[in-house]
Amino acid sequence: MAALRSGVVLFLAGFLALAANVQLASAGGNTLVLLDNLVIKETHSIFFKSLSDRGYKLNFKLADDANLNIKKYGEYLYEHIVIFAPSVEEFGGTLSVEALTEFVDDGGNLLVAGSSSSSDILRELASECGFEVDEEGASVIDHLNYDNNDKGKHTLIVAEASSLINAPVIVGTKNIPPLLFEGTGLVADKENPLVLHILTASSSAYSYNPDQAIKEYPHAVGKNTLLIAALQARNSARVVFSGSLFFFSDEAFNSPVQKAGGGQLHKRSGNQEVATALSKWAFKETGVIRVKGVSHHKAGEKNSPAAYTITEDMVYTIEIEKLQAGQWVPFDADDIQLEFVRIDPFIRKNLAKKPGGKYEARFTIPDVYGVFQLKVDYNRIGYTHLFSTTQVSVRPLEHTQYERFIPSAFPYYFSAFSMMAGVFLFSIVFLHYKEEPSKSKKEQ
Amino acid sequence: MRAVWLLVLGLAAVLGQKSQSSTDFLTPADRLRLKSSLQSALDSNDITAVHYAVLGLNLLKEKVAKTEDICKLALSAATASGPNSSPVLYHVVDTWKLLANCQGSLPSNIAKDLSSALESDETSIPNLYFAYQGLVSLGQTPKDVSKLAKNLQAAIKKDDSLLNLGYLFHLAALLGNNGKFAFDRIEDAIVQADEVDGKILQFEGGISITALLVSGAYKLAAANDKKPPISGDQVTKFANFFISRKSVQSPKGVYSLLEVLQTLTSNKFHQPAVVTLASSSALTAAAPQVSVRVSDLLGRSLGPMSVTLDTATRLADGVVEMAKVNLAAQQGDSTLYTLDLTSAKGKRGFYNLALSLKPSKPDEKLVGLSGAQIQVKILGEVSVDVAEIGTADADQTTAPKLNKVNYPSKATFAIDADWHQRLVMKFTLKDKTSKEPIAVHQAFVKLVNVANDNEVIFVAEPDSGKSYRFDLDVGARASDFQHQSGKYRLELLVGDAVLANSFSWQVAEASLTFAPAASAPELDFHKVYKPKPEIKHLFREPEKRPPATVSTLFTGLICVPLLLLLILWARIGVNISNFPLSLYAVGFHLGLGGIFGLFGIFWLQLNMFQTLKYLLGIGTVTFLCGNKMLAKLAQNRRQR
Repeated sequence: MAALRSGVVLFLAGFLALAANVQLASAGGNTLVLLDNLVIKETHSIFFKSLSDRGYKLNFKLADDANLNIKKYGEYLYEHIVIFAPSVEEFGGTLSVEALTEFVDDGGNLLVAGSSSSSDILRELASECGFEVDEEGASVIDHLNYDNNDKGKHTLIVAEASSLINAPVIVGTKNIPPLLFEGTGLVADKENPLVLHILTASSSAYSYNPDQAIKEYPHAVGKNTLLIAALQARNSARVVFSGSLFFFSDEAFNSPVQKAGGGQLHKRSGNQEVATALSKWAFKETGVIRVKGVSHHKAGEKNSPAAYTITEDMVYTIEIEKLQAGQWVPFDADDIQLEFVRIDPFIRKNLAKKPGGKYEARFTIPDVYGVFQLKVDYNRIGYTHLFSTTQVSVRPLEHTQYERFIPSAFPYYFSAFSMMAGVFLFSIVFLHYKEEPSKSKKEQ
Repeated sequence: MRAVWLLVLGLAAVLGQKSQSSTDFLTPADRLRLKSSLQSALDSNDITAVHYAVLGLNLLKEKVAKTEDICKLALSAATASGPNSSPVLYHVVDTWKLLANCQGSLPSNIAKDLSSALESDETSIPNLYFAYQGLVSLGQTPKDVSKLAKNLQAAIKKDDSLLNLGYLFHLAALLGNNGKFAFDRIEDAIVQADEVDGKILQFEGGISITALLVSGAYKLAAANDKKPPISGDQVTKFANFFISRKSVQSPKGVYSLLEVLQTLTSNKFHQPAVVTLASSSALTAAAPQVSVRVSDLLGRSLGPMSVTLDTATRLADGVVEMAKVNLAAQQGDSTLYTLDLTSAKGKRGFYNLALSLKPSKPDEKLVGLSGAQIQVKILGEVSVDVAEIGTADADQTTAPKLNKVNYPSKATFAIDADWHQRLVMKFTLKDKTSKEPIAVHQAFVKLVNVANDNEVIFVAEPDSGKSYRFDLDVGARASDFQHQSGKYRLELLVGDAVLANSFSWQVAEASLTFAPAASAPELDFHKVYKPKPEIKHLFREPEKRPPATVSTLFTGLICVPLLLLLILWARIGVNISNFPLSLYAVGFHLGLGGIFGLFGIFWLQLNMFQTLKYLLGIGTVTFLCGNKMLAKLAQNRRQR
């Protein structure tokens, strides 16, 4: 009987483990891959394989497929869209730039790659996302940093890993060989804080048609030339836009890199590492954080009170988790801040790290009463926007809570009490005083 | 001082795209890569992938590792497969046969299953092929070949998709005379190929299907001993497609590629010639030679040839620099030929080399002999001739004051420009060999803020005499610099695809002063991603209080009247013998005392409502007692 029961338990445990596995495997989600032609599926097979190995269900379609549809009965069929179709003139089916921007507005993620022959529709899509793609035929040219395998126009450029954005959560480690890039340049509005400059060209680079003399100021010059740009929208939808489709190709992944003019030879480019990290970020495998719980109480107590009184000491604790390999694990950072806000912040304090992904702040409530909010607004490059607000009311002192024995008021206290004592005594004497007339008359 | 520097003339050659002969072959590095991708596929749990990996490794003449595991996998796949899965059975049987050293034996019903699939007229053409091949691998000969041929004919009439045609060719090639009918279908298939850019022919569906059809066509042609209806041009274009797909990763794709390259290099009808550039793309003046490799698709020699340069055309202006030159065969390697381009020295630009091949022994099957095109570029060297830098007034009333700077040293004099001035730089670039002024693609002037490394780049424009001028109106361009006055490094960037010495030259350091901006410019737009400064609440300062001694003194003074009263009373003596010994009198005074006591407690701890409650009780008692007592006192007084 006992053996049977333990068998059942084992079976159940196994079943649960299996279910957990299944859940992990399906973490990737449905992905639509739009291609110029099916050859791209083969030339970029390593990248696609890494996606499908990570659990994405890839649906390869031609970008001008007449049956394209990303929405059915008001629900999206896909969570992510990869557009590896630089030269598509018009999307097929119901797909359009408007449909794609709506998809992003509704939280979908996009990974788009252009090339030096990017079509107008891709340019339009890019400008919806806050980037500008150079005109058709233009390539990023760098006469000082091109690869030995360049075809002659100095358009196969070598980008150092150090010019990647300073955000390991997006691009992974920077300790990788240089990157190979061949494609068009992007520019982004510097004043748009949502656009992230993932990979910038060196200051000797520029984007122009290599076959034409420079007649007008190039679209992108120097470090303003973006090779890869990204956008994390306010709804945390992510868009990655690469000027180069070649960047993701098997050829780029496996090519050796050597800067012309006797640079150091690297056996393999760093493209695969960056492409994998970028796709992980774009499809929300990394850089996703959430609040697990918030609690607050008076110092020395355990439960939250109905209201706080001014100048009390308060303890605020928030628990934050991040997604790592499909699991929620404690998040580790040292720059999370708490704001204590009544219209304006009264207090802004760095949270102290506690074990288990918990962050704590201890502070004295200001001597101002009203309805306050405990606000954690954590917005860092590469991470989803974390916003938590908790409302607490702070009331003034009750009349019994004021100071009772003020030294300067002692004259008042004593005058009152001496008055009372006087009245008490005087009333007795006044009412019951007995004159002694005989004696006094005798004396007179 | 005039800076002229003499440097070497380089020559670099690069591979062009447009060509009549194939432009690439399977290099040893490619073989290694394909081998490693096949070997990693051996670990797969899918017998189909493993079988293609084994087939591919056999074609590469590589050993297959872990044969025992593969045998086990084959055996389990054989027992698991249902009656209709001829492809799986074929993969199992053929893997078993290829490995040759598998222990044990395959289930006996495989042959029966395969035969019944072959005889059924419901079986699809691919499955017929797999069933046939499976039987052959088992060492059996299918019985009724003519009936199979009839079935095939019927099936292809029903559905002549590309896939079916491909397997039909392969199967018909095995059927000998019975398969002859399929030969006419080759032409039907080939016309369905799509041409891309005039260089590539492919079938819809990628490498596997194209390879299947092409190799099937050649096999069938070989079986019939008739030249397939494919032109030399088409073969070259197919070959271009296959070789462009050499980065393929899937085991089936790799096998298809290797198999079709094998077919294209070893059949007796066509042999595409491949002309590729063998020399490094960066050649020095010491060796201005282009080395050209002439080989088959697998990089093997095609026998002795004479290779001729028909024309060498400069792309920029279409001038033919060289024509009709024979390339010298290179000693030691029968595939390499060398062309000396010394005569084109100094004429910078991209060149198109048109080559043609002529085998020493005429060979009909060689295709792609003429019109091979290779693009090379001849590099020039640039030198900075006169470079002058200085400032001028913005209103252009006075001539600019310019000072010379020598490349590659940095200007020693100071340059200061404010918002009423212009920063002017003039320079001329010359070709080292021809000494003529040249225009380059990139002639940019970069200004880098020394303090924060912000860079602003301007384009220097050449005039008609190819003399460059950079003119910066400091006041008008202030917004480009975000109104950041200070020291700027001025660098000149010169670059071109046909220059061997593109450079970045730090010319001078200039102090720029801009008019104060109307509003402070926002420099950091990514501030939202950074932690904000902490805010500490400033608590209200407690009000200042008088010193305790003062209040203590006044407390004492306050007590004086009461004390005085008591002292005086004690001195004169008070007689309260009139105190009536009645309950009311006692009650009244106790009550009055109680009320005052209550006030004291109220001050210390009670709240108002509690106090009022108690006061009501005590007050009532006191009032009644007081009333009675006073009445009594009044009565007493009247009596007296």
